[in-house]
Amino acid sequence: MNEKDKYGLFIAEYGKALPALRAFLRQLLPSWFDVDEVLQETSIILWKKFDQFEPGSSFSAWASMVARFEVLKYRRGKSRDRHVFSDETLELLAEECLDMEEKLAEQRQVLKTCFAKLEQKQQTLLTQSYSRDLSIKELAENEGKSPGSLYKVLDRLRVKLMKCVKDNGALAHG
Amino acid sequence: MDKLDKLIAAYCDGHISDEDSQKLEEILTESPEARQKLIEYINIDAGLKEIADAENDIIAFPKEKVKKKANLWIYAAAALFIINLSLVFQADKTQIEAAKAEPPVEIPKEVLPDFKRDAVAKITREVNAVFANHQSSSLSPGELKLESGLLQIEFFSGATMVLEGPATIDVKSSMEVAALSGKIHVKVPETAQGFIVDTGKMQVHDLGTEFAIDMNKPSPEVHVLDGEVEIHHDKQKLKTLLKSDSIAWNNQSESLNDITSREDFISYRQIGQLDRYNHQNRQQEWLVYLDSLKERNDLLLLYDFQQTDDWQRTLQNGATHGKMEGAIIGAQWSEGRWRGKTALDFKSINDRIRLHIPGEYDSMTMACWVRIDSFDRWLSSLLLNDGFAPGSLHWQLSDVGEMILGAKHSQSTPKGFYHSAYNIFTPQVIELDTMGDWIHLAMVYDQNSKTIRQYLNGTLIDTGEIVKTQTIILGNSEIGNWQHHRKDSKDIRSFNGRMDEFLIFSSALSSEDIKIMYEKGKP
Repeated sequence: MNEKDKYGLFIAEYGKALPALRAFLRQLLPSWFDVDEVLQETSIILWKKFDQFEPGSSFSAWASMVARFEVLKYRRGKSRDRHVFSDETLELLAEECLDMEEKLAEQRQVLKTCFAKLEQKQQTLLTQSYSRDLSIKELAENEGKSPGSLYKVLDRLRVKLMKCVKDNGALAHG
Repeated sequence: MDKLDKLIAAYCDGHISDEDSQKLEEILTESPEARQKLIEYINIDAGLKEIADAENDIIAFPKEKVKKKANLWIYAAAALFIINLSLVFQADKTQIEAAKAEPPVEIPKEVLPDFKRDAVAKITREVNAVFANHQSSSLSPGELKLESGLLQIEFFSGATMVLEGPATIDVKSSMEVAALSGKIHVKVPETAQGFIVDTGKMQVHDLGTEFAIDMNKPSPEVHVLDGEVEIHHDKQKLKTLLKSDSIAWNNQSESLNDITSREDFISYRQIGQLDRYNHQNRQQEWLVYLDSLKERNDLLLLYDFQQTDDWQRTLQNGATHGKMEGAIIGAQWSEGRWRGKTALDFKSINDRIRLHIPGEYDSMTMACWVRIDSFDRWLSSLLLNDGFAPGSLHWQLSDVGEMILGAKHSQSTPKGFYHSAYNIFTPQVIELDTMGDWIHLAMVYDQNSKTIRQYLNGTLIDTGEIVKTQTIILGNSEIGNWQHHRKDSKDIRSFNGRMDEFLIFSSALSSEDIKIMYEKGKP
């Protein structure tokens, strides 16, 4: 593929993914300004690693994974003089996300089953903490917990889900 | 959880320490297993977000739809890349220019009109309000600066606030506001008990009541007009105030003083009366303005949508110019933008006004007041002439809130649509927040400057180029629908909403004219 074709294909793929990507980032960030900042960084990595992208696989799933890493970096970068991951590390992760995309898509599918197996209370807690209606602090107050201990609860739930996903993913493959 | 798990969890929640962040990066650089673990963890995080959004019915991933048209944002995306690429590679410019010149033809785009996801309140009444900067009626958290006039804000919690300008508030949420300056009246119903107004030193916690705050005084005052409030300071409850209690915060002694109560605050009742009075005045001004328009000899058509008898099924042209009687099909009479004034409500896919517009024109202006209730399909008609013969103009709205003017300058050719016609799209300007509000739309086809201009609420929002000039010939036309000439077509373009004025001029009105038309007609 020559540079021009590559660029054309990239613009087409990126164009298709952009509305969903913007909406997705808006859920994670406080303002459209932040969204644009992160998009800018995300697009650089996507373009740099586009050679490894295989036509036919899901560009938008890949893009949203890359964007997610960028959001974490951006949030940390907001507070000055904080350590953030280097671009090399982020690019390496972006590249490996591509390699793993099939597996990741499957895991997200299995996650739904695993999520349904949780207790109702745990499900509600996760849904609330992932929607933007309440901050972790407010949620912790409602639950009568400290934010720190709520983070611990959420971490434990995620690890539990990850284990369930892995076990069931293995089952699916016999 | 082992050490790596803990680092990953802390990283994802955003509260990892610098030391740990460095440690995690070192591990990641060395270990492919660790990277895989982080990716899988983030993936679970992404999956949970998807699940949460589905549960909350948030439209995070709008459906995609392919439309054939050149769209601005794709160029914006391309431009973004040029910036990025020059940062990254100092890339070969000619290559990129070449690629930019040939954007893909089929472009997907967002299918929803935009809206404020984080809105917490809505401005429901304005009396001569002047804002420091542009203000939409939906309020998101942030500062609101009222330079003069009166404003009524309804919070989604149920609380109602009246501001007397000049006043500045900082909206925190649907339950909390910081008062920075001005006079404020608050009415809190049961559903919003606990509503907080923060004056800086005092946090006024409402317990279901009506109270007023004066921030213009050197010592901010709180007056309880009904019910009960609590005054907090430094997270401590200082005092409970009951009806007719008034206090002021003394900045020197850092304490509360009892003061004489006052009632010179404008409440939601008074702003309602003032608004009604003001509304009547504006309606009078509008009638005078309409009369002045009727004297213009470039006014071709004026439907004022005023019902004069019970069984009225036609619209009479108020312009001195000519007949152009409009036949009302389906659309029902309902309330218009002025109190006591009628409008037509278009609901069914068959609702329309049919009319014949004779003549040939070089330039044209169309303007209307509409209240859009919903975008039912990809296109909603404002005014379209039948079919799409050479000379046609099609003025319509897209389901993502764009205004579109289609112009047909030549006979159709087998080469395709764009060889004989073109569409001018505005950006997505009609937002979901404004549905149900009366808005003013205008379109100017200006042969002299070779431009097509479109306006929303008196403001120019887009200028497009007349690709090839045409003599405008409309003939049989429809407002709110379209009569096409293809038998097998399933193309429905019915308008869903109300219409309360439709004007056509045989000349190109200036932006100033359109602004005045909006100002005079604004309810």
